Amino acid sequence: MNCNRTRREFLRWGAGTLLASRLAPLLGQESGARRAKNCILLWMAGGPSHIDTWDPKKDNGSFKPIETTIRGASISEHLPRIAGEARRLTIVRSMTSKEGDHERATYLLHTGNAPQETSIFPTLGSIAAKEWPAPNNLPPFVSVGEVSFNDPGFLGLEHAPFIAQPDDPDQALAWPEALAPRFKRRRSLLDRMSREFGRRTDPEVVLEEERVQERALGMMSEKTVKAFNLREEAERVRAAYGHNYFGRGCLLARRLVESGVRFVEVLLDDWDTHVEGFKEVKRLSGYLDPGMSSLVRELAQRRLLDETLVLWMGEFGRSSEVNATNGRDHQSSAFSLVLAGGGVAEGRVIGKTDKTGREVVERPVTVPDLFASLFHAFGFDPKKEYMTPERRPVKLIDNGSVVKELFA
Amino acid sequence: MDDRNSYADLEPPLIFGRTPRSLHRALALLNNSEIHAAVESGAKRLIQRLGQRITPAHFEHVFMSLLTRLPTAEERRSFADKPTIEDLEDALWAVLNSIEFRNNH
Repeated sequence: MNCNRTRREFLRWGAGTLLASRLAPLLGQESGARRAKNCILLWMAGGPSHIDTWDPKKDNGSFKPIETTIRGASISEHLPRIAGEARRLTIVRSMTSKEGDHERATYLLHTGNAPQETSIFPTLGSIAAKEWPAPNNLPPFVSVGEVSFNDPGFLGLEHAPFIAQPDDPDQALAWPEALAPRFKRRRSLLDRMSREFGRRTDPEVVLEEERVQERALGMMSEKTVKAFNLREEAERVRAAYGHNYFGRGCLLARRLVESGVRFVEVLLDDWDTHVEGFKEVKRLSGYLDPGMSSLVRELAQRRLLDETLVLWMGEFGRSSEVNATNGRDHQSSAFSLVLAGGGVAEGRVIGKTDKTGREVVERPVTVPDLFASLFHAFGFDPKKEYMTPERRPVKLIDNGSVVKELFA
Repeated sequence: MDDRNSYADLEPPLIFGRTPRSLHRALALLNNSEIHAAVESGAKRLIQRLGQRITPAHFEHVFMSLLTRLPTAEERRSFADKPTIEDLEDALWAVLNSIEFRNNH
């Protein structure tokens, strides 16, 4: 029974790939077209102030703007290294949404959908884990730090992130030396038990768990331990990324993508700067600047940037007014995000806000537009239907239009 | 058990993560040092109870206590002829990691 199933799966898979390779040219997906194969999401939890980072304003209490390697585009004075790498970036200054609550907006920016009662939509990394195959000795989706929304939703737990801590790189991945001679025997015992159990129960359950366990077994390899180990890097490199959680996370992201992990989300928390906001944003910029600039530069040097889309974003921006506690409050009407690599245009600024930073005055980009653009960059079919556990067919995204300026 | 903290003191979520059936949990069950230690002490306790000379009854006990069933004929075939404590540990580890144990028990 199991055997038949596997063969059926194999045949289906075989036919699918065969057709895909025949159809690809007709669908305009020539092999020459630049498509992202990996993605690194730098998640700025709390809602980063766009005015004090990518969209500085004169006379608005914000930091001094400095010039970048994009002609005419200035960013905050506290991001000098990123300013030097800006020609590789595209800054979108006209993001707009209606979700000004952390939880709802975090969900929206991770799924492309507003929260709803019926289904939990999968986070972007889980979509990538589902659509982009990864080698069996690595998790397809790694999250460095625990982001408040990281649910695979109806795609199933197989596609949940593997949560890694850059401060504790060994993750108990290495099989103990003392047990080395017994690994093979234990595996074969385990296989026999799975076969026996599969005969007596729902093969669907066994298959999903087997795939997860198979990957876990594969990860207990020297190669995987190495991929996670930042001590493999020279001190000079580690220092360039910054000796802090986010810096180490960015370096780990680069190592993992090099090894075959397809999607890495790196958390930088504390952007909810209602109180003493300027001091806080300056501190956070001190982590962001070396980490993000080193990541983009090194990916480019290693010829990985063309195939790896780096995405910087948080759940919303912050108000143009400075509040009584010297901070800024939530604002979703206008905020910024940044992309690099993965076939996205370089050295560009898209959209514009008014002189206070409160409203978008040019080329508004909605979150569904962003997701349509990401799907385009990743080569995911926006019309593809997935089945929820309640057997309801759903599309992952709806209503967005690709932002052409990001690509042409 | 030696001077190690008891399992209950270790805050299982720290080791196994909060999500069942995740990669993190699968990995922890396969290879966390606490699991390796528990397997070792479990085998020791079985021997204390059932005797130094390891017999099929030792293996049956593992299956009964974790899966509430006896091993099948197919599974019996994987027990060694003259089993050692290491064979017992291997069986304990495999049952603990079996999808049957993780789903039904």
